[in-house]
Amino acid sequence: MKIPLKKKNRLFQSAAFVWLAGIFFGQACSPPEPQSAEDLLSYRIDNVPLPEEMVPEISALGFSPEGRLVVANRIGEIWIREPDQQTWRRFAYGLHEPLGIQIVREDEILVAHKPEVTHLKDTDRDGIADTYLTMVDDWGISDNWHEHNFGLPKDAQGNLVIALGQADKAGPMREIYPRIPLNLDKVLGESKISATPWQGWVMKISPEGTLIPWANGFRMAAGVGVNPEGEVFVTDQQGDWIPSSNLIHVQKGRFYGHPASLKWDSRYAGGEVTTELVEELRSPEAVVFPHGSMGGSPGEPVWDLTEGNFGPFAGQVFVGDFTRLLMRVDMEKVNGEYQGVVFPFIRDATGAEDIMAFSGGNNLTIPAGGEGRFYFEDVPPRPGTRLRQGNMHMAFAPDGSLYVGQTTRGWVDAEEGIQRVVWSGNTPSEIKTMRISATGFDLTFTKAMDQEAAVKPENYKLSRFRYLYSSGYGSPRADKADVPIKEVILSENGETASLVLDELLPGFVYRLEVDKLVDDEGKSIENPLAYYTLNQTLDGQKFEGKLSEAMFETSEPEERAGPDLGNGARLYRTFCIACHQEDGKGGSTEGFSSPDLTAQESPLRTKSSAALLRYIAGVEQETLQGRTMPSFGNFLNEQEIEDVFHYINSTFKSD
Amino acid sequence: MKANHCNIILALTISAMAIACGENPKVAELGPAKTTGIPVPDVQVFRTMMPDAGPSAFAVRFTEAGLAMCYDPVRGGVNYLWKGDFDLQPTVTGKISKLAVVEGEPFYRESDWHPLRSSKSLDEPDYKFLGYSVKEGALEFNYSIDGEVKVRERITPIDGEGIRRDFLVENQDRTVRSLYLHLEPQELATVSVDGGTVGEDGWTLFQGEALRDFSITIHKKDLEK
Repeated sequence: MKIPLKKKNRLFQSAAFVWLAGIFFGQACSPPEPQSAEDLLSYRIDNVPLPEEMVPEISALGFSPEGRLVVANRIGEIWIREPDQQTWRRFAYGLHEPLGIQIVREDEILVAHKPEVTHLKDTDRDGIADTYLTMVDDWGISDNWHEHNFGLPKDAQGNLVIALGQADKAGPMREIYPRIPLNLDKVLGESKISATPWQGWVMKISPEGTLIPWANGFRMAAGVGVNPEGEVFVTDQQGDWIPSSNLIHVQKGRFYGHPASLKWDSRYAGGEVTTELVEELRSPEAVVFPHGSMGGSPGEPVWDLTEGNFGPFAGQVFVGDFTRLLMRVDMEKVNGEYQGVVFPFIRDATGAEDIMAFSGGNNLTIPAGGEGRFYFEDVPPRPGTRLRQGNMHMAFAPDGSLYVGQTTRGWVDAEEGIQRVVWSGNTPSEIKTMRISATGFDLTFTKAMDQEAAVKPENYKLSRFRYLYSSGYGSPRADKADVPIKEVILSENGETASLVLDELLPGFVYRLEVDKLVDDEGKSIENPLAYYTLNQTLDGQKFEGKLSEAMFETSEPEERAGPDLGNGARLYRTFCIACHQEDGKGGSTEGFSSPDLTAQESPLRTKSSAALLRYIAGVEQETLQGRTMPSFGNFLNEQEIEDVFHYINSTFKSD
Repeated sequence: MKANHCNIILALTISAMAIACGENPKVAELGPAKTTGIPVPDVQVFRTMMPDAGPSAFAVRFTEAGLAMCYDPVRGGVNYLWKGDFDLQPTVTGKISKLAVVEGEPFYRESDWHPLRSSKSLDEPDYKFLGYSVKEGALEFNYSIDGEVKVRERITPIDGEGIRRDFLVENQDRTVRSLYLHLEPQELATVSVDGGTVGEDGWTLFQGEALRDFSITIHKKDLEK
């Protein structure tokens, strides 16, 4: 990109100021060399040193009222960092995958872990918890790997908030001694099955320890947060019935899309649940995180209450993602309901291949109805940072830096620990907010924009698309269209731009790219991408079509030369490897051994191709040792089933 | 006042300098990490996934005694006890975790659902697990039965060959007048109850003073004798 001359002038002026300041104040500042681009970065990332004794799979973190950093890891420990910021103390251990903490005091911590919320107390004041009181455990659990208990913020009334993830029917599940009897029935073709109450629900826990089921329809709400007003928000994960990951404002009694949890709602338990019914019941998310562009697996939302110590985004929401991505979200209330925009904030991978390599296997890259990998390309990286993957837990420190806890177990090679994001004091050039107006969108920038570029409609690339609501594993983008901009009205100070459009369509995600804009110093916008979730217009118009069907496009599917073995390999690693293992030789799980696909008596040799395709799809089922293979037709389309079958056949069928 | 003004001006100047240098003055640098050391208690308690137990059972290691125990907060009691150790690594490895590995042969097993009840009725009691503590090396599990009786069960190893389970029962309202315990026959362990009366049906009845405080001793049989 061509850099206007005036940028160089400003750079020189800035360097000259530093140099002069250095002379004036002695040697307090850097030597009087012109600053490099890296010196002028708005944010830097530090690796937070952790003791060797700590397994760095960070599963929760927060700061005590005294300002101490408190950290949980997935093997079940709680660690506290002393005020010297160097010395760590193990406060508790032996918890079962803690995924949320609420720090009462340094010697009293509440923990959300798999079986319960536990009140840890250090009663003898030796710095180590000695009492583990069960505060509440009134939900069911099995030993399925996909059941998690996320938390643990407090709402405006002092209630704790948790979200229970749903069991994965494809994974092993024993039924020995269930705390509450399991119900393995499907409600509407889902692959996550809410095996026990209250999986798929967000719940509150009163200060007295009473469990209050609050809202349902969540697939795996891995991030739970509360805004400054005490309202509850969660992030949910793309998959069956969740077309793309998202940020949801959780309101009492509402249903947010995943039907399995309805089996524990007395209004629908035992009755017929249809697609029409769930479409009618479903409340929209506040903000969609478009799969690929905005990662694939979001974590905990945190609000910037640092009053400017973290830069120009005070009051906004930051959300980590499993990929090397942190997002920034700004919401507004339209007719009483939240909706808003998501921007990339920090991304530390370049291009689709790089991102896919760091994004935790193909669960995160392929879905979006099989199109996910195409969308990992359109987020430009932020230069000069070194963000790791697995950014699922975050907390602002008292000093205004953002601590990011990382865990990647089982998805990609471990690249875990804690990093902190520190604002340098340099204001980045960014779109600060994108808000809906009566005629389009109003953009506010962190700096004045160069007027010549900012008034040209062609410098704003706007498009829209929808996601389709179905049992499929994520949704492709549907009803895609470019959106012409009639006019751009720039404010006198160059800090706001109003985009005037012909029409605004509710029910669409609007994508905006402004990589041609520069600020009045000639500097590009650092993250020139935004996705606005338009649930309703200012005059109250909402989407009225069918959530599961495209409205406009009828593009013909592309002709395929044959099965895509590469795609088949990725699908195998995503959906089949848990039972059949990487070498196809199967493996023993609890009470069940999957067949050796490489053996002479393998189904690959004893069954026809047509029969095997039907078997993978679940059209035909065969019981083996009391188990049937999951029906992959629920979340793979015909081409994907064909791809994975041909990969299996060509890789494991012995000659 | 002048001194205060000077301090404010100095602070602002330092902040401005730091910002000019690209640093946030409020954020301190981080030094290398160290620990105060991790104590290795004799009794170690982990919630995990154990074979032949409900979800999120306890794996307990009595290090000095060389004993290990699976305690089940869903069923309610000691599911099994063995000489040896356990391996929790499979429970924390991979996307789809596996059960812990028991390293040793259990010499004591229970499988009855809620063996301590406030009636001999076949109806399951309302058993509620309330938590646990490890204080001064003593492990104690807490639970309630039928919402009226609170039980503190303290477990200590004996001679590396067994355990003693001491039950302290809080029944202040005296709403429960009897407790019943069902112990299953054991081939590889001797089990004795201190307190209570064993009936012909195999249930041990605790009443009066015996209801407040009783114990069970489990000892591995020496089959070579």
